[in-house]
Amino acid sequence: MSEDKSEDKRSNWSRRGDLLKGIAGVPIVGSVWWAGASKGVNNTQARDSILKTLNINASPPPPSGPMAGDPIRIGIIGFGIRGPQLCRALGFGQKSWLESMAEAAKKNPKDTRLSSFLEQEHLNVHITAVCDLFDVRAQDAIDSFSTDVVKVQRFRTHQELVESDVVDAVIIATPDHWHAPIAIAALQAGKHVYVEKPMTHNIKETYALKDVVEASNVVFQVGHQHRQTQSFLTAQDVVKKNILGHVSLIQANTNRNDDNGAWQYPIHEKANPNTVDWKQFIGNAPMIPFNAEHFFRWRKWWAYGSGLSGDLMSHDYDRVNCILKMGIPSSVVASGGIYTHKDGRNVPDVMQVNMEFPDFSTGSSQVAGKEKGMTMVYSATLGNQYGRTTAFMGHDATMEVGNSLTIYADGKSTKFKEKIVSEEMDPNVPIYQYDPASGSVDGVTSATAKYFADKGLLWTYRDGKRVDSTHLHVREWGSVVLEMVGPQVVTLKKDLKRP
Amino acid sequence: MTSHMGGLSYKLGRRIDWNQAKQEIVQVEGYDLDEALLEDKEKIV
Repeated sequence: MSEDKSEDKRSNWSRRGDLLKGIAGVPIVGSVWWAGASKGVNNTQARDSILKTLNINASPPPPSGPMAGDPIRIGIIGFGIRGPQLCRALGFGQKSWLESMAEAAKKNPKDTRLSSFLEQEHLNVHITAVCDLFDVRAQDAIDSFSTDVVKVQRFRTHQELVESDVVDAVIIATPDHWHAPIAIAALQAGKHVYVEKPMTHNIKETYALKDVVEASNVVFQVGHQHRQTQSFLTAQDVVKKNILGHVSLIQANTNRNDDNGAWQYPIHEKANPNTVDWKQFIGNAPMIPFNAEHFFRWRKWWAYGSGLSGDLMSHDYDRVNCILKMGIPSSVVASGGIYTHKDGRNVPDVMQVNMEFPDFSTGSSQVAGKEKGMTMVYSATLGNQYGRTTAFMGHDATMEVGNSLTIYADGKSTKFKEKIVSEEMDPNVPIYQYDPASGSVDGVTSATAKYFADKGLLWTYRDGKRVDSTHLHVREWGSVVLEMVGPQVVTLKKDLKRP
Repeated sequence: MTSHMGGLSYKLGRRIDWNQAKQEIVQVEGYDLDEALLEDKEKIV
């Protein structure tokens, strides 16, 4: 194959997708593993040779500790969209959700959302309190989660909830402008905190929250659930073994094209100034008269949300940072506009963010010192859902990371030059693929759900079984909370700094 | 912090730098960066 043809093929993402479809379904040890050589899938010797050369240690993130001891009493602050999802991750499904999932499973036997939820590990937690500013939602939590043993108590303000003695820990799933103030109040009240991303809404809050966390003796965790994705640790091993060579460019993306993805959430018919505590919702944002659209679709305004950069890029950046540990970029340039949804919002729906890391290096296969520096490009649109991958582009190979992990040798690689010349490796065929989902994604009912699923944010796999990523993430938080009750507090706090 | 740099760059229409030694975003003359971030307008510049 000529070099020109090779380059043509590599620039064609859809063709790459076709190639992937062709190789899916070769199960080894419960997952799909594959190393491709130009001489064909059946060339076992070549495949084994490549796998031996790569020596990638594919493994999931380490399991978190036991959930033993007295149940953690959790207060939910914010029970809109994300709040109920986090409750399900804890093992508590709303009545309405359970009913709709049962109906969905009846209609489509492949829809495993309910069965996955029911098979989820019991986490030894109680939901004892809720704070939501909309009466209907607060009552929903009370009706759904109260039992004969535990009655869910409603608090009108987060201050009252965090200071109460009915909770040991809080989960914060409010609009962004309330994340840090509530987290700080909870930490100061001695409550363990799980706060959704973005951690803060402005710069001063970031330093203030950091100080309070460091001065506290409780567990604090931010909702970046992709750290539980099956391919995550494998990606770290790929980088550690310098398989990619010098990574000069990373591309990460958001592509969504439906109302939900564009933050056009439903507006509840019963929302009005009598059922919503509007003054409290506004907080430190500019006061305006009651506005149901602002209340339910707050992500569309800078006053309450953080736009694409805070809501979605934060996931992509965190994922890449956890794999490469490149830290905060030395400079950032962003551009974009409101090009698809001219509906009164003031956060962009198309955005490009270039993050520069001029002194960063992942390693090299060439002359020492020749290569240094990297750009991460985050590119987002809420007007198209073409599935672009997160790609780590190195001199020797490109790694695509999502719920699966795929590596392609680069046609001009130094490290793999001999294998490419001998046609043992073909730059157009993956030299490595790790796909615990065996190429299938079930139970996807919306484009936005698929977007999150592809990123590993909705669910991941353990031993070939589908598991809610958020469940694993809150479990990790909960297990450390429970362990901290014992004498190992200092050790565990130190351990919390592990990436 | 990186997300805040992205939001600021978009709103101010310019490059935002990070001071690694001081662990802070480099100030942009004429702007309070937090006010710029929270300003409820699509773009400031």
